[in-house]
Amino acid sequence: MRILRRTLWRDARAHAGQFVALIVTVLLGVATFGASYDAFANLTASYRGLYDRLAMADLVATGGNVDQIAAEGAALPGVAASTTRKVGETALRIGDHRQAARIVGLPADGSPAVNKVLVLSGTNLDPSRTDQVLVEQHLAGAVGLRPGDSVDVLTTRGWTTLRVAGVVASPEYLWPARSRQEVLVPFDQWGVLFANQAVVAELDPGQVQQQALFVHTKDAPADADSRLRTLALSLGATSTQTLAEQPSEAILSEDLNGFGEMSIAFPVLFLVAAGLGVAVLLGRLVAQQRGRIGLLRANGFSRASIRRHYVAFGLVTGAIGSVLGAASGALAAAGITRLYTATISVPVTVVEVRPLTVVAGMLMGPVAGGIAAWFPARRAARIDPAEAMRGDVPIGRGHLSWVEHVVPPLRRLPVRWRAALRGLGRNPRRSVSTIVGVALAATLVLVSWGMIDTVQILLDRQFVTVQHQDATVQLTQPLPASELDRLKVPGVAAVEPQADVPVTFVHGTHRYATTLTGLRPDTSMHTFLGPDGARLTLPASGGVLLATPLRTTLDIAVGDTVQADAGDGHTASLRVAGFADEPLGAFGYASLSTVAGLSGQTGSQPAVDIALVRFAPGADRAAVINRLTAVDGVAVALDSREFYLLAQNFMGLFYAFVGVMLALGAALAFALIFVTMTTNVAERSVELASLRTLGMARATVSRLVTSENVLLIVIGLVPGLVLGYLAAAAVMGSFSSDLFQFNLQVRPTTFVVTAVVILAVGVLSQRPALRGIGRIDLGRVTRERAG
Amino acid sequence: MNDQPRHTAAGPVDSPLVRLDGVTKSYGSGEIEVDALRGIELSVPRGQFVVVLGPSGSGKTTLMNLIGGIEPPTAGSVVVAGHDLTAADDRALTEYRRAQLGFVFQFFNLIPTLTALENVALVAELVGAPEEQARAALDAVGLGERADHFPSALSGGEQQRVAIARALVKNPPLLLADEPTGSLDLDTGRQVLAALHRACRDGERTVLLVTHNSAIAAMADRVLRLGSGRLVGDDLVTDPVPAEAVHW
Repeated sequence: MRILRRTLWRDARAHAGQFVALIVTVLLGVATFGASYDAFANLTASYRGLYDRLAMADLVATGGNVDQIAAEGAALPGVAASTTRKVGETALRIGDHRQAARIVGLPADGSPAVNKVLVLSGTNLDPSRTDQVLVEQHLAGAVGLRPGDSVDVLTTRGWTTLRVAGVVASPEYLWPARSRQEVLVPFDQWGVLFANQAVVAELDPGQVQQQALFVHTKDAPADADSRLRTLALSLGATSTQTLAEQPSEAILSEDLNGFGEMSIAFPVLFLVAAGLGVAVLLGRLVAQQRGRIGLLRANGFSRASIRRHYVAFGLVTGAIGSVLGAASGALAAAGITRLYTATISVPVTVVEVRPLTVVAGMLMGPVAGGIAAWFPARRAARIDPAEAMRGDVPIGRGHLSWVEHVVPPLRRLPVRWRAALRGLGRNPRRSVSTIVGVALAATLVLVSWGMIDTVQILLDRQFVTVQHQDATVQLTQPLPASELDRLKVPGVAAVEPQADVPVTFVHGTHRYATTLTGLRPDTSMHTFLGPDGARLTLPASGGVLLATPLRTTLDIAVGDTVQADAGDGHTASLRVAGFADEPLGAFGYASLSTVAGLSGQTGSQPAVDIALVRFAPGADRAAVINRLTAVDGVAVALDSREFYLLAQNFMGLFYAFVGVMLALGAALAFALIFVTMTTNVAERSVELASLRTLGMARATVSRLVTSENVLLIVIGLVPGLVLGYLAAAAVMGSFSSDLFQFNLQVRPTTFVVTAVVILAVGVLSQRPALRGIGRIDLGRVTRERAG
Repeated sequence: MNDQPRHTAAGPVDSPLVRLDGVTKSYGSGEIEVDALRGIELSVPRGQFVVVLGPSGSGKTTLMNLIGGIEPPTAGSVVVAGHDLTAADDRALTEYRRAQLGFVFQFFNLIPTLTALENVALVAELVGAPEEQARAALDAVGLGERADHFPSALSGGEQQRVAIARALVKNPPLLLADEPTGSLDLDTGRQVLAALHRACRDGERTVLLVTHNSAIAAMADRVLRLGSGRLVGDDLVTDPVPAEAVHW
């Protein structure tokens, strides 16, 4: 048996290229499993650790009698702590820079029972002072604020100067989203401050919300959220938000889920590819070693020992790949976790090597290799020793290809083309392996590229097709729409009023908290498009357009009536006039008068505190923004392009991720096609050498093999592109929620590029095999039996 | 015994098709260098049926490879049909094999996914010959009726005759056959030998047949004997027997 083991290593050395390619494929599969699963676990532990440490709220109730909600909620089973706070939206001035800001109220000592902050630099609030703020780390980083600096916030008393006591991290703003509808916000246009509740009390009351916050005990009952929710709504709360619904947590969870899905999908892709490669290579070895197998059987080796010998090849290949993959995966997981937490500024990073992940990774390769090797090993064990020792090699059965049956004129093609066509069916296992490898790689590439296309197309749709304003101006106090002409400074082509009111839409038992945006029915700043692409009209009164996701969230249809509850007894029954298909957020849209009514305004000339501005063609954007900011009554002017650029910047990270996906797809295609192609050429070396001896030029023989391979790749591309499209649709669908609506969009050129990339990789991966044709010893090989 | 041919020593040949001058072929290097052929001088005219005999390791296949332009000699020169193969590059050697040579292998080496006709037509395409010429070549070896059969449906003898048709379809002046009956029984072996013999006679073609089967020498015009890499015998056969009369 020791001799058999020695031949195992010699066989591996003799096919070093293929052996290494298979090991690398297993390595990549196991490494991506370890990297993505442990990164998922590390990041989950990092977030949860911070949430536990800072008592992240499990439920936030907005509106109603928050003191009573907090008090009665604290008495419910599973509630560890509760608190109340005020949260207000305002404008922030730092020197000449102005932006929007949220001020979150804290108790005097800056240490609430729920949703604490972690001081990263400076100090917490001084309980004896009310002129201090804590700056959330992303805002501090974007505008360069440090402890000791001063900022001005807009209060009912005008600009009020506050001193920065410290820079903090908050579990609520690990991903600083303004709301579930606005998750991409430039930090130098909107940021978060924490201050004494007394400071928040001085903000415009229309912009302040009261909240009750709860954190659960570790052993809280499963219905703790629903009990709190019922209580809060019964005490007048307009909306509740669980931890899972919290914007920052929702965004981070979506990312984590991506890692979780990768930890399954990638290993499956790579291990299937590796398994196919092992089966192809071993199939070749068994055919090549028929004589040896016959000799061993004739000398008393059992079928089981022959089977074990070849299965061992798969096990060894898988084991080596697994060991290397598990080690690489653990290292990559640590790197990804640190990179990720550093990129989004998570102050706590948990990095652990999980023995279970390592053990699972170590088992994956041998299991995949062993299963794949079982089939050729079984064929080897069944070889008739007498026949094998005679040297008889079963000649391949020839037949017309199925395409020649379907398209008879193909039978008149030049013979070399007919040979290529029939070569596809010559070794079905090898052909299927190549096709599957190509399909898997195409899937991986198309999913990656499809994600890029989707995000780019949808961003363009949001910021070009749907929104037409160049700037959003926030006013220091509401003005009648007729007085907005003062914003027509040089460079401004058009100004329109906008009014926002936080509402909760209620339809039956379904509720959804969002912003109802009021616009002129004939607005030129916003285009409403239905899911079918048709233009929708904003109802003049009594109606509402809802974002598409609300159709299922509220279980509502066009023509139904939805209740809009803005709190403080302001409600309206609105008829659903249509569903607006917009990539970002899930808003409601109504006329200015409808929104004014919900805001408690009664006059015929509703006042607004937001203006949408479109610039004149060729205007200097920065200059216009400065001129707008200088207008009396303007708190801040936000350049819409900043949002677009921010979204594009996020694409940078996305491109890196997709780049890795593309590289992995290419590696997968290369490895499997390389193994099948080299095996193909090795299997046909006698035939190819004969053709060379008969006077066929090396280039012609290469073309013959290449045309067959290209045909296989093209065949593999068909299911690959279909599978890839479906997989990409599923992936994008899994990312879709009320935060983003990612309906898959793939540019036609992407299909072409994917096909070209896979073809290029395929052609490249057969080069070693083609070089092998040139190295065939014609004299020796033509004296061998084919087989 | 009347079937047995009479051999006489071969004399010098004018304007030979194949000419080897002082050819040596060595493999390996240093202490493990082995001379497969040493100092071979040989001239073969057009239209001669030559059988090369010798035990295993005598250099038969090496001689075939040198004449076939598959390997270069270590020393000396090989000239076939006016082509000096000694220093020819890969492209020139490919052209040479395409235009001047037909090869017949012991194990036929047909492409299993092509029919008999297509196997022959593939080579016909190489030289720009029409498919009719491939069909004619198959007819010439008596396999016209089996043209559309795949190799797996043909007997060993039939496969070898397809291989001969494939070699002949280019109408080469020189046919090299390496143990063409090595894997055949007597009857089918005779059929193959007859086909080769016809190819030689009908086309005024030179056939160089390498075998360890000395019985085949009876049908040759000339018998070369190799031993330990040297040409140890070169005899003309004055009264060769027909293929059907060969026994082994």
